Amino acid sequence: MVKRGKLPQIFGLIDLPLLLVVIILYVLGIVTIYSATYRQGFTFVEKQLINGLIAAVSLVVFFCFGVKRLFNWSYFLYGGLIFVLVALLFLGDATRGSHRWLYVGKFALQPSEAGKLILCLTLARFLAREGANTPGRLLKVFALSGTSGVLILLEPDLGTSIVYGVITLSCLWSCGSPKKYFSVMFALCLAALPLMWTFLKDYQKLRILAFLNPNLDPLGAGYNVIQSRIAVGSGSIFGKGFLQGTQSKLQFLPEPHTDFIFGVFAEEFGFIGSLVVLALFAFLVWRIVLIALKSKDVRVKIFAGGFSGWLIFHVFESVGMSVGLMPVTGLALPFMSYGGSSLIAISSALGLLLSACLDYPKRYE
Amino acid sequence: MKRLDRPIIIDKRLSSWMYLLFGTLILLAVALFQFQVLHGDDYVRLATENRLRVIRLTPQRGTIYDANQIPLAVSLRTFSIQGYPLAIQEDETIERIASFFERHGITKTPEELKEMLKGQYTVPYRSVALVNNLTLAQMASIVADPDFPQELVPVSQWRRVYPAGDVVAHVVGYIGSINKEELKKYGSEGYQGGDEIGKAGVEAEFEKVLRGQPGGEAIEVDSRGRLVRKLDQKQPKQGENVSLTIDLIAQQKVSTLMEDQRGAVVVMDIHNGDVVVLYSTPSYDPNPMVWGLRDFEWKALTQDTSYPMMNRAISGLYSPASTFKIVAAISGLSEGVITQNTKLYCPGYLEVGNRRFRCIKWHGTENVVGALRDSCNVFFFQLGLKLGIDVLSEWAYKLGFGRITGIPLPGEVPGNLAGRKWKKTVLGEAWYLGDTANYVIGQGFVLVTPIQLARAYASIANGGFLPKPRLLKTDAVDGEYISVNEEVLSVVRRGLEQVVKAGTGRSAGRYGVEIAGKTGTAQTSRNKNDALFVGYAPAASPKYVAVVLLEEGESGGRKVAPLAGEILAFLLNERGE
Repeated sequence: MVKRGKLPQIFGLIDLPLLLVVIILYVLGIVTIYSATYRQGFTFVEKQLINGLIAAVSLVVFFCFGVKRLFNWSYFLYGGLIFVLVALLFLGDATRGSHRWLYVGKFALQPSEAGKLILCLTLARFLAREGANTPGRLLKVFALSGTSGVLILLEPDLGTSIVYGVITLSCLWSCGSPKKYFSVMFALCLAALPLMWTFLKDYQKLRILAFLNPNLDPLGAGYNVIQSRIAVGSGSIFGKGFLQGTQSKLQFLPEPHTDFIFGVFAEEFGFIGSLVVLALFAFLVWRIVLIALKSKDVRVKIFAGGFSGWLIFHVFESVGMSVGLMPVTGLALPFMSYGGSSLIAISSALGLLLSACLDYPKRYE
Repeated sequence: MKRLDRPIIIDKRLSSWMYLLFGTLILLAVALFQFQVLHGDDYVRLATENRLRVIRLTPQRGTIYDANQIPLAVSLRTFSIQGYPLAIQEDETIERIASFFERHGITKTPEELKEMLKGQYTVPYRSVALVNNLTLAQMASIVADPDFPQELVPVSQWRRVYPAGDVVAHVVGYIGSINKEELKKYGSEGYQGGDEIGKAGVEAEFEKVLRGQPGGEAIEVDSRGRLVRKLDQKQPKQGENVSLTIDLIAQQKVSTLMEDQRGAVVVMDIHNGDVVVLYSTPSYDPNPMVWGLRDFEWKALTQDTSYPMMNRAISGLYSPASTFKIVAAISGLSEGVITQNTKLYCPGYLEVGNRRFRCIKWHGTENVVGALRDSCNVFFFQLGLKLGIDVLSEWAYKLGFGRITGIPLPGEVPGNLAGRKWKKTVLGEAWYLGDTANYVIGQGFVLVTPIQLARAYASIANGGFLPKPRLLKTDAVDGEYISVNEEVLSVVRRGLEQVVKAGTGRSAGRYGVEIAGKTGTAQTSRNKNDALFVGYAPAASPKYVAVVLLEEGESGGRKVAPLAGEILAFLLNERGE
């Protein structure tokens, strides 16, 4: 650990380019949120600035706390997560028929977002010690992450529970679980698809059907997909320019500042703008993996695997959805979408990862 | 696996993982290239025209029938002319439309049309109604006109009509356009702006059953807003009909008998809780509520000091007066404080503390049957003081007072059971013996609704079953059993029979049906009394219980008892199966 008062040394060790890219993405998000909502005043931009501030504070707090200490807490935190999810299911106020929100005073929090971070930590600790080289251990891992995944599926929040699955797979892959297991899992997943279909709620089925064929239900679920695709496509190569998007301004796009923020961005900044955003995310992944490679702590490596999977799945879903390549699930585009819970969870994870940089000078444990 | 190998394997895995994630991002870039570069021009064209339009097809709302299949609320087909804000917002178009309407006798100035566009606007692809409530003939002539503006769409609609008007208004209720708060609350159930929703009565309570499923049509239009083709259509699903337990003919009779007095009438089947008559007066006509009242009309209705919008039968709070004496009678007999032979002396008044509580007159010694017959206050003062307020209010609760009956109508109030705890928390005072004296004769703090009285007396008549009032024939019979001795109830029933045979309610017995019941006169201010009669008939084998209440109705015996008698006689003699 670096001693106190050695700020220059800290700045020498942590990954500043990574932080810079995150800030650029956040600013692009603010610009897009402004464009999507400025007719309704500044409230969304103001709130997102406050969310950013909270996220920055939590980044610093978790950085100072250190990822190692948090690994020791992770099982305890995971237990807490399960408790909160169960409580939400039974006590939660069902807004629009779902139990996602926890109300703390004026704030509405989504515990399932913090859960993504906790799951990464828990799996990293578990897999670093136990590994996943036998079917029995693999089942243990699935039982572990499946508990929270199923609870979130019951909320019901299909999108987030899939993220939990992706995080689990990312961690398994990163910890060196044998490749043959992945082939078996892939086959099992394909076989289980029809079964899963029967568990889905009507609106979820509708979204997936509409995704497969948007013209099937242009009145309801398919309408958003068609309109979002028009928004993205009409952005063309160079975009219509800042504040010049018509799809979002005329309210053809639903929830332009959250679910469909990429649609708004791509309409105004075109293919060039979209490429820049994708490149920034690629850079982010590269730097995260670089930290993991340099770290000598196996737990940090697995954690970084889970974290990067989580981030890129969000990007894939959010961008894919905006052109109708993925069903509408409402996952946030990291750092850019309006909303606090997701931003804060990702920033905290980033803070933890950066804290691992401080351990480079140390030897293998 | 050896310990040192593991980080190396993991590092390899991390590198391959990174390339997989890069691959994902490249996949996205390729997809975006296809949409934004290869097909960019197509989407630019689609965006500038945005050709998709959505029309809402409203379902026919279920009909509400009375017990004999007479319709109380029906939906009739009418027509409306709708348009899309995007297509008609320009001044020139609006003026053209206004002059077209003018020729067909619909006077709407361009300014009014603009106002309507603005008022209903949610999203540009959702149509707004410009003219509503057209008949088929009007619609035919408008659409047949070669000048019919291409931007407009004829749509068929439903209009709610209440044939019985103000006779059952408080039961049936009415519907109206969904407002912002309701939209927020029910938006997830598929409502949108411009939809109609039940606002009061059965229309509100059974909204889910009556409403049906709205459908829609998605159409593609050309750049001038003309229909090119239908993309999708979903037929609306008709709402379900409901049949009420209300007998419209009896309700009509009651409404005639009540004339323009203020009050409420409840008639209920004592066995299954079927509400046959539920009348509150003054009433209102629900029909204009549906078309949309003007501001001043709405104000006149809601600010009327006689509260025509209030359903007095379930939301009106009244002192039960002497009709409440059954509570003391039942608890006294059940708790063993008195027997049917216990006689108490009435000198015409009773001193409680330093206050003198008066009786109607000198009654001498009375037992409980006689005290009910003569409505002797002093007998019940003494009984009440022996029982104490705690026992009394406990029995009042058992008989259904101080809580809602569960009648399936919005706006029911629980009344006020009163008691020590209530007085301490609300008034911050201790409970005095004088309060008990007032309580036992149904004056003072205790407040009840007419439907509660009907239920309590039904339980006396049927042997201890407190039915939940039923409005829908298809609902199961529901209720609770009071743990009370049948002998106790038979003593009380004898008292109630005596009331009509030889006591204060004799005038109820003039209509050829044997009635048992109790009168009540509640003093509300110096010269004003609320008058009540609660009774059931036929006395020997009861079928119906009736509550008649008149605000400022002189006394229970004089004006109200005969009304109750006539209503019960009408139901038993002329409305029997």
